[in-house]
Parts: sequence; structure tokens; C-alpha cells
Amino acid sequence: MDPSHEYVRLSRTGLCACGSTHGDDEECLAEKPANAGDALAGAMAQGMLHGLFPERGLRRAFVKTLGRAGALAALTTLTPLTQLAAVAQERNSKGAPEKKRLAVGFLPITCATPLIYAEQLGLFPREGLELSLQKIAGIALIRDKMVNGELDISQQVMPVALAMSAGIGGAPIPTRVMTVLNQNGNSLVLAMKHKDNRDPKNWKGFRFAVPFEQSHQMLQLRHYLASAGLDADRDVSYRVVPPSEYVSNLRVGNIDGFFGGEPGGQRAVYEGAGFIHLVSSEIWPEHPCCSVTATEAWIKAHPNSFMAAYRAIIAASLHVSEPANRAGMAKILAQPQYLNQPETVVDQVLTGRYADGLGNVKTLQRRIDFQPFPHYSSAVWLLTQMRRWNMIKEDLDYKGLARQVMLATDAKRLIEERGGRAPEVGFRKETILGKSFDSDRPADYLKSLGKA
Amino acid sequence: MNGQTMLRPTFSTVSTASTATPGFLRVCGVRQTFSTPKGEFPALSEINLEIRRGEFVALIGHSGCGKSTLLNLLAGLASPTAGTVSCDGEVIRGPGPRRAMVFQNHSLLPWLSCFDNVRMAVRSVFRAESGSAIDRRTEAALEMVGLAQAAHKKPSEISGGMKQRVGIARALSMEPQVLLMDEPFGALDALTRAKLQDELLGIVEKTESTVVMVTHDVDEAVLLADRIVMMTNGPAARIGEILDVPIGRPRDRVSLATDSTYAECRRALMDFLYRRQAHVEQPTG
Amino acid sequence: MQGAISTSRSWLATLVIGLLLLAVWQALASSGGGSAPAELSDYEKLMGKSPGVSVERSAIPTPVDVFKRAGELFADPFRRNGENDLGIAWHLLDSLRRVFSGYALAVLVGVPLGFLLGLVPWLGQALNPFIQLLRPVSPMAWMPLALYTLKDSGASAIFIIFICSIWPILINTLYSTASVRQDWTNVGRVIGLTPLESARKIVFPAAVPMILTGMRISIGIAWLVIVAAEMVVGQSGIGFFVWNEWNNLQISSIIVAIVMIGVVGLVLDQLLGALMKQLSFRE
Repeated sequence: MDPSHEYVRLSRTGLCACGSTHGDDEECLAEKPANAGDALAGAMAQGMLHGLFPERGLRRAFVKTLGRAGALAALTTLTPLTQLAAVAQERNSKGAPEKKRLAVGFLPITCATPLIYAEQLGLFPREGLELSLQKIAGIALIRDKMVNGELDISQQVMPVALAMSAGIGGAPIPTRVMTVLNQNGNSLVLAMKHKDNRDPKNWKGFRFAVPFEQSHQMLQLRHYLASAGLDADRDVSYRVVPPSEYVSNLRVGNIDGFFGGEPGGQRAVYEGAGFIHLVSSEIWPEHPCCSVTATEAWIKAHPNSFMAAYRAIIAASLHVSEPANRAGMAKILAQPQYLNQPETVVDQVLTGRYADGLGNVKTLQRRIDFQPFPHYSSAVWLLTQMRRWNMIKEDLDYKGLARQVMLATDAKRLIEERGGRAPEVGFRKETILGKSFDSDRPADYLKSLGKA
Repeated sequence: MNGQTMLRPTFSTVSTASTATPGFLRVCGVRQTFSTPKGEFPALSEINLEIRRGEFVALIGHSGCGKSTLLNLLAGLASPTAGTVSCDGEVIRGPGPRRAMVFQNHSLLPWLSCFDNVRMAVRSVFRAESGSAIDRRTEAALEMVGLAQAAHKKPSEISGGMKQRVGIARALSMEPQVLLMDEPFGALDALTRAKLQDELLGIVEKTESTVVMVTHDVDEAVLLADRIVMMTNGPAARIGEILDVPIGRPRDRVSLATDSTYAECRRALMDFLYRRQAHVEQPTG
Repeated sequence: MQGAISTSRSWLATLVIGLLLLAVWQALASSGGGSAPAELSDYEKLMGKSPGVSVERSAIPTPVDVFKRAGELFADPFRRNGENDLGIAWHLLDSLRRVFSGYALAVLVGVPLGFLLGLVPWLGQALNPFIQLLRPVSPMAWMPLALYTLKDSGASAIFIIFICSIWPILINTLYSTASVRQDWTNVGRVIGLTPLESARKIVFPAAVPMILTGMRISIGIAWLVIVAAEMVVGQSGIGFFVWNEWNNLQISSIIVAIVMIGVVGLVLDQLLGALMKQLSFRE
């Protein structure tokens, strides 16, 4: 809904911009707006005025004494009308960016492909911005740098943005997921010595590495193990290990396996340290892995920059999701300033034609994809799983939090603006290990897994 | 001549203030007790002593007899547990350049040249004077001890004897009322010691200083001092006896070798030290 | 003459031992097997094998590999291809810059503070428990605290260097000030210096050698810490370089970096050693 169109239309029919008709002697604060913003502010102010002075005589006196501008100003100071108006405006604004040079953090994993391509294709300058793309050493660090303001926008693994907004493990810091960077692109890798021990039922006592405590990798792994009949809390142990150390830990025998993002899994195979037991899409097809996040505070302070960056990132995601554009992608991503990996390793992740470590060449169509639309339902599954393992201590409004954090409406609009196709905003069904998950009935889902 | 007239050395247990003039340096009823982890240690008990201006007094006794303690009290580096120490009528409350000290370990600051070591003292005392005036005083002091040449050297570059001379120069450069010396030549070899003793005699005569010197060397005491204060053994040491040394000045070492007064004094001292106050090694507190 | 012979003989021995070690390393690292067929299967290609050579992918590179990698790195040390791709010289300069900032801060705070605490014994004793508590804290433990309060990774890195390298300076200054020879302070008292003058003219110069010893230890610590700190915090610097190469399992680069780190550490240590020689005195 474009506000400016609405109000212009109304004025031609004799209705005031505030939505009602007035007598000749009554002035309205929303009358003759200079632009859509004025119309909106005026309408809100007029509404407030009605609320404060139900009696018409008092209203007239108020406006007459202060004059129109004065009345508007007085009412604005009572409530942040300008802010509210700005928020309504921002969704459609193409105003000059408040901050031109944006620091965007990325982790050196294949999930970062859209951000890397945003730099490669010069998409930020096209929106009037400068991009300072910064490689960050770890998940905790990239979170801290965004919280303390060193980064404006950053890559972050799901569901950290949700955890931060809900205040899990610290003070709540409202964070928003602008887009999802990638689907799939993770694998469960085991040490070579376990190549004949591939039934999870026998994995009691295994030690697994995951990239982060509150990560979808941890949640998917736990779910997988629990579904195989293990006690995911007591039968196995977990270790938070950064991707660069997966291979050495496997080799030395510190861990029996890891569930992590590519190209970590493929590199382990390449180094002969392990084999791919399964890829994550075998557990949860089309699951989101990493996201592009920004804090609510930053967005509020830089609405124009935010929108401009949003457009650039969406454009990048759409570009890299085109199958035709995958040619030559591995070469660019493999460079030292980006992923810094052998090109063939990255290529095997992107094409889906890969060595599995056990002598087989496998083909997988959608080993990794880069669709930007953030689904509410994936957020809800992740949140309920966090509750299941007691990472969240009490029940929350999962759907409400998902709606708040995942900016699906904005993403859909921007995707469609660029000619892409986005699904309806709503809660679709997720399928994990063959079982269907309905966001409205999380309790039933848990029961169906055999857990209370 | 000293050899002919045999002046009998006189003894006393109290200071022989034969003149009515009050003592320049007075020690009245002084007692000194140290607190140690093992209890109270009485170093000195009841010291009374008066020293005249221009006198050269030697303090002698076995180790542990508190002579250094007494010297520190005279310097003001320590305060007595009881009694008072006064100089020129004023009670001594702290150390200062008017009671200059020459330490047994020369205590020269090793990062400064000899010149600068002396200069620091001069500058501290004569604050109002100009830089060149201070330099001149420093040069004069070093001249007096015959070290003008080595002035620019650092203490590590000169011999023990020279270092001690610098210490004396530093003390004298401050034009003190009293010169306090704590076994200044103890760490030196016999020949150097003899040389410095002779030089000291010359300096003292020239400057007419009041000197209190702690020593354990009998010959040194008799050679240099007008009076020798003999301390009893510690703990709780007191003044045992005071010996007058009636040998005229200037004194000449070679001729004193055969002087009977000199021999008599020596004998008296030795008798005190080695027979009457035979030293019993005390376990250190 | 004798001395000259023995020195050159020991240098020769060092060289020979070094070469021997390199040869052993080369032999151990290149564990060979049979040779692969000239035609590789798809699988083998995907696993990165080269035709005709079958080498078990060893974790340790050979000295030859390391020299080759060093050549690559030093061919273009001042490269500047965007923020994330810098030549090794820039990394080194960035690390040195951070070290000097943190170290200078440690000296500027540590020496005066140590001096004060040494002069006022009860104050020194009162603060001693805190010093002893904070001293063994690892730089990695300071990291989150620094990031959280300072909100800037560059400042955090400098703070971490500061807080880890200040202790030897502080403690040495404190100790040498408190234990200055009483003979010398007595001299000060006797010649009539005020306590302030005595502190300035006697206590401080006397403490300088030990302060410099502390400073020498500290520069070593500062250099150690920066590499660890940059691994996690930095965008640039030799520590970040190591982490980045580790991500790509480029052990050769890491070995080159280790040697560089060692050399720089040695140079820094020697610089302070020379300073110490200048300012020391023999007693």
C-alpha cells in the first residue's frame, strides 16, 4: 500500500487525508499534505487530537491558539509521531542512505556466497552504498562485533538471531533476519575409522563437533540422534569447534564426527580424514543455514541504508541462485580473501557432484542453494527444538517471535520488485526426517516423536 | 718531643669535661633497644658522652658492641629508645649534612662519576649557589683527597682506596660540623689504609673538624684520636673506659713507632679489649 | 685467537646441525608409496590426486614446500587486493603497530605505578593481592571482556597486550624500587635530599637496570600475546594470517609465519638488550 497514492485519491473525492469529511469552518491537521509523509503525520495527529479533545470547540481553540504548525509540533512531542511516520515510510523509501560505507561481516564458508557476490558484482555501489566486506574469525565474534557496532550487517548462523532477540543466554538484543543466505550446504562427517559403523544406534559415547552451541547444526544433529533412539543429552558429547579445526581434530581422534557447514565437510573428505555419512538435506530438505542479520536498533537508525543494502543483498542472492550463474563460482569463492580453499573442494559443494570419502562419486542436485526468502516455519521448528533441549527455559510465543524476527514481508516485496518469485508469507509445513511439522501444533509434533 | 716526656695516659669512665664549656656533641642517658622477631634486643644501655669541638674521638670495641649503633645515633640515622643526642645545643632529630657520614662501604652511587657523586652532595647543601660555584667546591674537595685526576671516572673504574677517598671528599665537601666515620678503612689493605690514615690526619688538621670514628684497629685509634672511647661487649653495651691520648700533633707514624706514650696507650687498649673485655662470640640475635 | 676459533667453530656446528635437521625433516615428511596409474578415476580426480604420483596426503609439509611457500609470500609482500587480501608485510606491520601501542601503554602505566607502589610500601602491599590475582590471567580470557566493554576489536587487541605485558614491568619496578640499597638511601638522607629528590636522584636510577629487565621480558610477552589475540580478533596482522592459513590447512604458510614471528621476537628482544647494556652500571 503506497500511502501517497491513497491520500491523493481520497482528496479528489472530498475526503480529507485523515479519512473523514469536515465542515467548512473546521481545519484539519491532515489537510493539504505536501507529501505522503505529511499526510500520514497529519492524519495521525488529527486522530490524536480527536482523542485528546472530544469536544469540537476545544479542538478548534487548540488549533487556533497554536496555529497549525504549532499544533502539529505539540502533538508530535507527545508521541513519536514522526518516528511512527518514518517507520511507515521506510518500507517504501528510496531516500539518501544515512550511512554510505557499511561494514558487512562474513564467515569463510560457502553460505557466504551471496555476500561475496554482492562485492564481486558491485551491487552496493549501485544502491549508493560502499561495501566493506570483512572476513570474521568465528560465530561468537561476528555476533559480538555486530552487537558492539563494528559491523552494520552480518552473516549469522540460524537461529542465533532468534536467540538474541529472545534474550537467551544474555540480555535481549532485538535482531532481524533480512534474508536467508543458503539452504542445505551442511553435512555429517565421521572419522574414517567409523566407515563400517554407520548405524546411529551404535554411536553411544561418540564425540561430535558443532560450530556453535545455539546452531541449527546442533539441533539437527540432536534430532537425528534422538530419532535413532539415543539420548541426545547423555549418550553422546558435543564440542564447539571452529571449522578450521575439524580436520585436525578428526585426524587426531579428538572427535568421532562433526556436523558442520561446507566446505568443511568436503575438505575433510579431501584430506582423507573422514567421510560424508549424510548431507543435511537428508535430514531437513531445504533447511536454512546462515542468514543476513542486522540489529533492530541499527535498522531504526539507518532506515535508508538498510533498505538500500537489503535490495543489494536480495539482488545478489537471486543472481547466485540462478543455476546458469554457477559456472566459475568455485574459482572466485576459493580465493584467499574469501574462502581460501582448494577450488575443487568448493566446486564439489556447488555442483553437487562430489567424492564421499568411501570411494563413491555422488550426485546431489541441491546440495546447496541460495534462495533468500526467510520462512517463518523454519524459525518455529528451530525454536521448538531449542525448547526441547532446554536451551530455552520456558515456553515462548514461537510464531510471534518468528514473525517479528524474520522479515518475510519485506523480503517478498523486494524479491518481487526484482522480478523474482517469492512464496506467500505464512507458516508452511516443514518436513524433517520424513515427519511433517506444523507450526500451530508443536506439542503434537513432539508427541509424535515419542517425546512428551 | 713525644718520645721523651712520658705522658701517662689517663682513664676515666665518664667524660672528662675538664673545661666548663658544654660538650659540642652530647649523648645523654641514651639507651637503644631493637625489636626483633625473637624479642627485644638491647644494643646499648645507658651511654653518656660529651665530645668537644675539634676533638677526634675513636670508638673502639669488639663486634656487636654497638659502636656502629652509637654512630648512627650521632648521625641521626636512628633515634634513641631513651635519652637524647644533641649537637651544638640542638637535639638531633634526623640525618643531615652538618653531620656528614663516611660509610664503611663507600656507598658511592655507581651510575655517577666521582665528580658527580660529590657534586650531588654539594648541590644539596649549597642550594642557593650557582652551578659554577658548586663545581668549584666539588673540585676543591676532590683536590683535598688528591683525586682531581680521576674525577670523571665511575666508581667501578677506581680502586677501593680511591673510592673511600671520594667518600671522604663527599663528606667534607658539605663543610659539616661533625665528620662521622664508620670503619672507613676496614675494607682496605694495610698499605692503602696507612696512606689514607696519614691523609686523614692532614685533612683533619687543616679543617679542624670534629671527628668521631668507629674502628676495631688499635693502632689506628691511637694514631688518629685525641680520645678513645672503649665500649664493653654487647648486648646492652656501655662505655667501658675512655682513654686520653696525650700525643701532640702533628703526629708522624714513623716516629710514633718508637714512642713510649704511644706504646703505653696501645697496651692500655689491648688490656681492655683482650683481657678485661675478652670477646665472647655472641650468637647473633 | 683461541676465542675466534671456538666461536667460528660453534657457528659451523650450528649450520651443520641445522642442515641435518632439515634433511631428517624432508625425509620424514615425504612418505612415499607406490605410483598411481597415469589415468585417474573420477573419484581420484575429485580427491585431488595428481596423475603418476601416489603420495599419501601428509599433514606435514617438507622443507622444500616451506621454502617454496616462503618464496610465494615474499614475492609480493606489499600486495593490497582489497581488505581481505593483504601482503605479508602489511600483516607484520599491523601486528607491530598494535604491539608497540599496547607495550608503550604498559610502560607508561607500569613504571610510574610500580615506582609509586615501591616507594609507599603499605600501598604496594595493599595492592599486591590484586596484582597476583590478575597476573596469571590468560589473554584469551581477557578477550570477551575487552570486546564487550571497549566495543572495538582494534582497541581490544591493544588492551589485551597492555594487560598481559604490564605485569613484569610493574612487578620489577616495584621490587627494585622497594629494595634499593639502604646505603644509598642513607647517603641521600645524610646529604640532605628531600624524599622527593631522593626518589628522583637515587631510587629511580638505582632501579633502572631491573626495570629494563622487566621491560625486556614484557616485550616478549607482548609479541606472544598479539599473535594469539589476532587469531581471534584481528582483521589483519600476523596472527590473523596464521588463522587464515590454518583455515586452508596451509601448514607451510604457518611454518613460514612461525619463523617470521620468531625472528621478529628475537629482534625486539635484542633491541631491549642493547638498551639495557647502555643504561646499566657495574657496582
